[in-house]
Amino acid sequence: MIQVERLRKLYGALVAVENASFEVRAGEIFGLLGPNGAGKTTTIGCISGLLRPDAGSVRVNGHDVGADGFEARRSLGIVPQEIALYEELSAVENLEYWGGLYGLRGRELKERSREVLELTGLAERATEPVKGFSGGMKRRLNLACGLVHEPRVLLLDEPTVGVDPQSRVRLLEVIREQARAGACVLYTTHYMEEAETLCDRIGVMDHGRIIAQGTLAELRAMLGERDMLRLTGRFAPAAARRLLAENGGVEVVQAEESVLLCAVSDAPRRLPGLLSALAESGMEIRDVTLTQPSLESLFIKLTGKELRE
Amino acid sequence: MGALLVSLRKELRRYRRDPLGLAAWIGIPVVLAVLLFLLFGRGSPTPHGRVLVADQDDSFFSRMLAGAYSQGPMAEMLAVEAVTAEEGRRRMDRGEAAALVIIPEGFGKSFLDRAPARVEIVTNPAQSIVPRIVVEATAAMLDAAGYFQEAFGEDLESLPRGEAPSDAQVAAMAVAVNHTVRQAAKYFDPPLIDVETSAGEDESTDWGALFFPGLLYMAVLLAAGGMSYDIWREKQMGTLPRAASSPGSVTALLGGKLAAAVAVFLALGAAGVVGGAALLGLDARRPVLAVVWIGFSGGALYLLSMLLQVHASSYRSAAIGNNLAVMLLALVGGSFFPFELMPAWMAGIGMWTPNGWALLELRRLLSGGGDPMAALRAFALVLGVGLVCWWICVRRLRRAFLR
Repeated sequence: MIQVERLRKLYGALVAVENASFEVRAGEIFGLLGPNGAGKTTTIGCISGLLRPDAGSVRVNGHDVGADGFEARRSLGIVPQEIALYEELSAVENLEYWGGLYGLRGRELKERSREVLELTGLAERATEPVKGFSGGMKRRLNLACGLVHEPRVLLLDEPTVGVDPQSRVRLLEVIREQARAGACVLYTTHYMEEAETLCDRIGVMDHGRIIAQGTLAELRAMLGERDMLRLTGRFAPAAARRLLAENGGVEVVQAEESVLLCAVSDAPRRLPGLLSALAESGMEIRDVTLTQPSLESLFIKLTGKELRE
Repeated sequence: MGALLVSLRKELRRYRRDPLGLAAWIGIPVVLAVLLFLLFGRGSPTPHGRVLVADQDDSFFSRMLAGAYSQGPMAEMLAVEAVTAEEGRRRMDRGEAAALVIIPEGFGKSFLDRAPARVEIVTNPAQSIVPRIVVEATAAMLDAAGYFQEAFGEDLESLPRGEAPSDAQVAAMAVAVNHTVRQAAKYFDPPLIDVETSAGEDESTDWGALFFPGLLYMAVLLAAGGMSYDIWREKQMGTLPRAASSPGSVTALLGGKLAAAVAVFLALGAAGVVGGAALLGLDARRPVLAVVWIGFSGGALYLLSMLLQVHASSYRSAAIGNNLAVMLLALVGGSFFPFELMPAWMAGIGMWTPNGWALLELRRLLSGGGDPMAALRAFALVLGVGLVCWWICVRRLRRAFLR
């Protein structure tokens, strides 16, 4: 349903997306994970036809976005990062507008508007102006406007930013329902937990490149069974690398004067020895954090930094 | 077409939900129009002022002079009030009247005796028009009295001094005047001058016709600027890129906005023409065509304003550029001051600004002047300019503004 091949997008000299390739199938939720500025929104922009790629190709529902943009756009439902609603209009008027742009008319439009309002829990506030809604309600309506025309392909660009936990649960449930109904969902986020619980497959993006992709299990396998050990204090980076490398089963991911990051197998057993070795060599350890294998630790391993940096 | 109608409906709903936004754009010209109405009322303006007359002589001739201020056209301009000289001076000090005329004691006798007499006029320096009218009118009346004295001096000699003439004396005076006029008539009648009478145009200033169309275009300009500025709000809200990603695309979005703007201009034009006729006596000879012209030319002004918006580099520069352009065009293009009150060089420039040119066409339509072909050419020109602006706007929106 979505095929992105060797996508490249430049903003002047800045490379926003470089050689990105992935595919999202019908009924699948594909998570595009990365920090702010990784290139997720630019990728969504190229898929939606808003941005023209400098190289590569994008196909939506079999239609090339560049050559057959109209047909490609007809299949798309877009939920942008911003709350793209008219606040002076009511919820149902917003839905009628966005549904109308996708060709829905008359009774069908009214029926679909009613359905998505019920789906997102906004039916009771349907005729109220959006400006009186809470942030979570606006987010739900933002999603509803992307669903009203029953799109076969859904592009969701960080749709849960700033949402209360209750609304987030509801939003994620609606998205799962869309996938179960056969929609192809591309979901960008920088929330690890969301990606872990929601997505069938995940692509990890950084500096415009997809640095890893696969199912959650496949990605965890890339990390192995190793825990992520994070030490803060005062270190001699070169000496620390040498010292830790002498211990089998330790991979140094990042070594700086104030931070050491290592992937450690069987960490609980090895930890006392590692800490002693570092302390004996004159390095000062202030804080120790041990993390189980997760997307977060995978991301740290792949990029050498935390996702929210 | 369907997406365009959907977009139009949405825009009209937004205007209906936020009428204060529209009112803010139209408010300034409406306030100016109301002030114009309060100042001048319907049709031509007539200066009004109060004149105090202190008749210290109280003779037949002094009463004639005092009464003259309440006669003919002066009666429409001047409210005459009899006072004593002292009271008149006190009230003039308080600025309560435009002028004080003091007719001295012995004025009537001096007139009969062909002796000099001095009529004192005290004017209010805070006013300019009415005091000048009083001075000029008094001088003219005294000149006329002098000529009358020259012509009928001997007959005037027979009138009594210091008391009102009897009916018989007035009748005798009238007969004498008539006799003299008859004698003189053979020198003047038949007249040696051929007089050709033709009905000319009323050259009195119609302030409604002069100011009101300009105010209408001020409202159109402000509304065009405000409504086109909405494209930046839509960009910031994210609704513009979202619409551009739909099959309707930016063409439908812009088309809906343009159609809604034209609907607003048509409503504004209709309210303006009807209101102008009711309040200011605006004489609209082709009202329907004038309203259509306001809608049509307003649409082109909207697209010109949109051109500025989509070429601005930021939200802020768009706002500043828009305000500057609107103020400058309103100032030079005849919206603040009619071309007739501008220096010739400025009016020459202003008439070629988009709103100035449209304003002149509106005035032509309102006055019923100009041939149909000229009106057709004006509509065609606006359509051409509008299409070019539309093409550039859509291109710019797609290629740069959204990215």
